[in-house]
Amino acid sequence: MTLLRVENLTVRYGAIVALKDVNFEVREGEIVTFVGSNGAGKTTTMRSLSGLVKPAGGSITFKGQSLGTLASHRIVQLGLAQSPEGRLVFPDLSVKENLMLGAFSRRASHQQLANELESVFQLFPRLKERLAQDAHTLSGGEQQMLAIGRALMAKPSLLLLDEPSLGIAPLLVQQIFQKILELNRKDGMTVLLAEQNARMALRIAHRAYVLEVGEVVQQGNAAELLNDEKLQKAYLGG
Amino acid sequence: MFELLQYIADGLAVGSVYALIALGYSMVFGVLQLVNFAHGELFMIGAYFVMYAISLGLPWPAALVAGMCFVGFFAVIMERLCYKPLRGAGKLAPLITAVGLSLLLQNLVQATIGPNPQSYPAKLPDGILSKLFGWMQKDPNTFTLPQLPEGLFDYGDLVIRHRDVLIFFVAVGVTAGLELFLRKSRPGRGIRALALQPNAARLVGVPFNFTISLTFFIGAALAVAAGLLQGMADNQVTPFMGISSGLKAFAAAVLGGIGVIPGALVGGLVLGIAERLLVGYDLSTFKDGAAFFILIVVLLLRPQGLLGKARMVKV
Repeated sequence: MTLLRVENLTVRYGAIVALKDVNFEVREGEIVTFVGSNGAGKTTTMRSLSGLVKPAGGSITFKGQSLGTLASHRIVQLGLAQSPEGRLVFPDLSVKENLMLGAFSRRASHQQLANELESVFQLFPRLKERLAQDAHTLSGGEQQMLAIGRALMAKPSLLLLDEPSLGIAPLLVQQIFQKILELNRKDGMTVLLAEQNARMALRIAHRAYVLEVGEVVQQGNAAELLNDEKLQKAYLGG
Repeated sequence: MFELLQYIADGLAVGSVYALIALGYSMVFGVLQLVNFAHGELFMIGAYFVMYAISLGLPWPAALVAGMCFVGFFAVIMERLCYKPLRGAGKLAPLITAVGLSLLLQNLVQATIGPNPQSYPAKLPDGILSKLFGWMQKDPNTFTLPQLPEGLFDYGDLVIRHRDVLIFFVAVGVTAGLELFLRKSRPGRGIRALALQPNAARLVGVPFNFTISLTFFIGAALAVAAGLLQGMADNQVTPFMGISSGLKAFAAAVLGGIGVIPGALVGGLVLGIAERLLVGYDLSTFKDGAAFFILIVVLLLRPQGLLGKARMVKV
């Protein structure tokens, strides 16, 4: 079943066209990835899905509902949560406070939130060790885990991950991608992943879209794209 | 020695009023990085509103609540009309707008009510206000003035007025209450999240426009409380009272660490005490400059303010 459908999405920043007629869809249970270089429009796509930028044209339909005019907090309530580029944790708040803020959009009982906190810790045991620490004292990788955990606390039906590998030690990147895979395969979480590290992303994704200067130039099965000659030259280092 | 203590005690009351105004500057700056220079005028309008409401016979708590609501919504509308359209237009445009609003409000009040100071019981000015509310106007002869407590704690050389103690505890209580609200309540946590990391706050579902409106409302309401206290203490309200108190409160907010709630209280008290000390030791010429001198010195030594946190940006 199609969870998210985006048609002819166009975003402008002043005179600059950041996205031009972008079409894609995400079906339930999938990992879909956007690959592309810096400035290709991956983050702009993510930001418009979450309502942080208002599109100049096109439509975004999530669970059959149009997101076009919805404020960002309504979009979270509908079940679309994002771990943003650069992680954006709340620096002066503890790991626990950060995670609890992730559930801001919901009305859930203490017991329920405690249980969900526990499942985030199962995924990222490191966060439990750091529970009372201020978020700005964490390493980049730990902050990334925190940002993902925070998004999970919103109980999303679609999880957006924007550049989870950015600025993180390679070993931790491996680990985080392993966790994303685990989330998808074990818990059935639907994931939309924007990633510069194309090889990494294509390995765990079902399908992929290639963005270039604001336009989708290629799309298809992730495994096939991984072996695509043209793509290998452009993004996978030959 | 007693002299010194006396000046400090007097200064605490003055500083408490600065602190109440400073909280609004600090909160708005915290969420929008905007110095709302019209905030001093909200304090002034609040002082007028409450003075007229009391003069028309409202008990002071009712007058205060009515004033908080009126000025609170006024501030919300001001933000929606004047600041919201400028979001994303950089920092300079809203700043200039704030200065313009400040002048506009001073002159509007001057034009409708008049430039002369008003005192209790205030008579409504001729024109639209007295046409609308004139029927409520009490006979000044039968009017009894609400008073701040006039008693004294007398320790021989040290004399503390009850009303100064009251003002001080109001400021401390309000600051503590506000801090509690920001930490424990849902809308309060939303304000804090927005101040710490605006985009992340929106991504976890903090309603952006509502939370900004709420911040303006609370800041304005606290300024009205300050307006009531100062209006009663001085028994005088003028269209220009927002200028000096507003600027000093802004200095207090920056001094304490802008965006940090207890910082506004500390900054306000420090400035209040410094002013009284200068007056006490025959340096009253420098009274109004003291706030800014202290501000400059503190900012040179500790740019983040007394209670502010300095942090390197991690990339």
